[in-house]
Amino acid sequence: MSVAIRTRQLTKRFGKLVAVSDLDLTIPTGSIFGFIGPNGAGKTTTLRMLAGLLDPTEGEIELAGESITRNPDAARWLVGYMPDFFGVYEDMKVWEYLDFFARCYRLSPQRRRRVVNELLELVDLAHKRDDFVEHLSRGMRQRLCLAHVLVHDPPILLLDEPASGLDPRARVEMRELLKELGKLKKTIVISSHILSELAELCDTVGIIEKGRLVAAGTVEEVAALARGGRVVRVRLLDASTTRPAALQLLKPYQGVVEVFEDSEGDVVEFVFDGDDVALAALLRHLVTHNVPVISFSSEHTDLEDLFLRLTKGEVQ
Amino acid sequence: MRGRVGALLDAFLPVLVKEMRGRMRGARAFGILTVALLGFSSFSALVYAILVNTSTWDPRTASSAYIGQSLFRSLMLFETFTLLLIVPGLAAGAISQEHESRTYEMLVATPLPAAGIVLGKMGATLSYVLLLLIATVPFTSLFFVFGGITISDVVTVLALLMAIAATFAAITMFFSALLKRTVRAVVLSYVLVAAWIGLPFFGFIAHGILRNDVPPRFWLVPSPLSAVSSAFSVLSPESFFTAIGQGVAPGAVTMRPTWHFTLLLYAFLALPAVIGAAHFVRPAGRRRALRRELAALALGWGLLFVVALVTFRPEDWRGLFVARQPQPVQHLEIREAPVEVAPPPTPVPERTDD
Repeated sequence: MSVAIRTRQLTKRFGKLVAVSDLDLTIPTGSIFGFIGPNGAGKTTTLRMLAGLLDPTEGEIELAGESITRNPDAARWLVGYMPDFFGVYEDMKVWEYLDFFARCYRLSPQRRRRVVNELLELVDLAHKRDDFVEHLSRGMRQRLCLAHVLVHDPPILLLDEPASGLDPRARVEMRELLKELGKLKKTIVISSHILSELAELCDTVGIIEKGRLVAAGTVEEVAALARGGRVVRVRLLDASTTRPAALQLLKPYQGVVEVFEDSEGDVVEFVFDGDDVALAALLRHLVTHNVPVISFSSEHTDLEDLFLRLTKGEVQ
Repeated sequence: MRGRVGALLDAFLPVLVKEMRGRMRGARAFGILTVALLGFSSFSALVYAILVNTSTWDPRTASSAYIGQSLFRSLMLFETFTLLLIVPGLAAGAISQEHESRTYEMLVATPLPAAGIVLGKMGATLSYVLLLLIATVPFTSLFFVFGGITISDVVTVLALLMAIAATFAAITMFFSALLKRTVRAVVLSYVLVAAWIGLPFFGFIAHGILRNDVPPRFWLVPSPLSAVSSAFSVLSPESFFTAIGQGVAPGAVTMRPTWHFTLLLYAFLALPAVIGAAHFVRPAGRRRALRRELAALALGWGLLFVVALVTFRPEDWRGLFVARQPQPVQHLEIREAPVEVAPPPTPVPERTDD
């Protein structure tokens, strides 16, 4: 597995305030990483350090194997950065806006023209090509800003709250656009408060609070960390009579961390710490002991729930 | 070295193109240009009317060349004032507006070097100033009808005005980058301009009063008005312009004109202003860059020092500190043309017809 972003002991202090503390982050190439945390947790500070816009107080940053701490200019070429609060050059036309950034990345005139047209198509602004930026809606500006980070085709995208302030339709459009970018095999780091969207988009997540990384990994891994394992739901036939037997079998079983005895209806829920093979063995164990199982599944993890479990809500 | 210069050029052009697109679009740029030209022409008409009205008692106005030169000088000083008002207004928002409109992070996240961003924005400001100056040239050329000015005068003064604009643009952009707020940068720049215009004359006059003597002209070297005044051919040594310029015309051999020293001083000041602006534009790695920036400053100042050593003679420097009366330039001095007096007719002896 190649690593796109790696930080070691990354720390940023502003005077006495520790914005980011000993952050160790490893994001594999091609993954979409959701960066979750309450306001003031250190998400934006981390992204700005990754984009080379802020000097870390301590620690190391590597982007695509290149040390940004030693060669900060490398970040400019490797990263496309979209800030959380951004403005646009209002007095420019839409194509001029992208053309300016393409010039900044020293694209040849022919390539510039091609890239501008392709990006306008990608973000669905081709019909607004000759309009002034000031006449674009908020959602269109957001998409234009997203297009500008792509002009130099960077392998890493750092998107700070890309959907904030958008109406529901614009959010859906933005989400679809991010999915498209995910298909381009770019490493994307998205910070957002809209956790349901992140859950749909991201294959890995990191939860940060008070500058410290609380948990990181795939959504399932983080869920396991939050609960000491994954939650498994078992639906039983004739639960009123079969539930006691099921509970009796589950409680002493190796890997079962906790059984929720207050599960409602015909469902039994328990936390299981083990891989898929062990889980299959558990199912076999239940069936061979004549527990009538209708369905057996790992619970779909709710990112919002995880976030609330893992953070204490001390920063807002 | 080549890489850094190349990167600077690569950064200069995109920013210049962007700024020019923004600046020249719409009616505002041409509105300012029109108002400035109207102001220049009205001012010239006023000066001309004053000259015509003083013709009854000022014998100098009998000379067409005197009128031409007075018009040209007045206009150039008025243009200097106008530039000192316009340039801070144009340059004060160059960097701070990027912060205020939240475009700064996206701009500095690109590979553009900070110095390239500063120079590109400065280039856009100076391009607009150049446009303004060039727009006045056809109008100025009307003064050639009166005589008294040369093409060299026009070129010298325009180049000097550009140098003044560049210096004030650099200093204003430094404030813009340092303060990150346009209003603060504008206010500080105008305070500086006022001090820059006023203090040299104040020092010059105070020195004269305290020492009861003609003060040395080093006081006037920082003044843009003195610099511009010293760049003309001197026709009338008693004039206001000569008094504030205290220099002599190019071509005169006795003393270097004040503006030569002013240019040198401005170059010494503009260099740290540009480097300082670039320092504050840099989003990160300022401490790392500081050593490079100080080295660039030392190199630039060193080059300027060498230029000063090669160009200026020791007596040029002494001339700055010696009190002197302005000297007229002989070849342009008005002199009464000697009246050809016809020899008295030789008396013809009367013929006697004896």
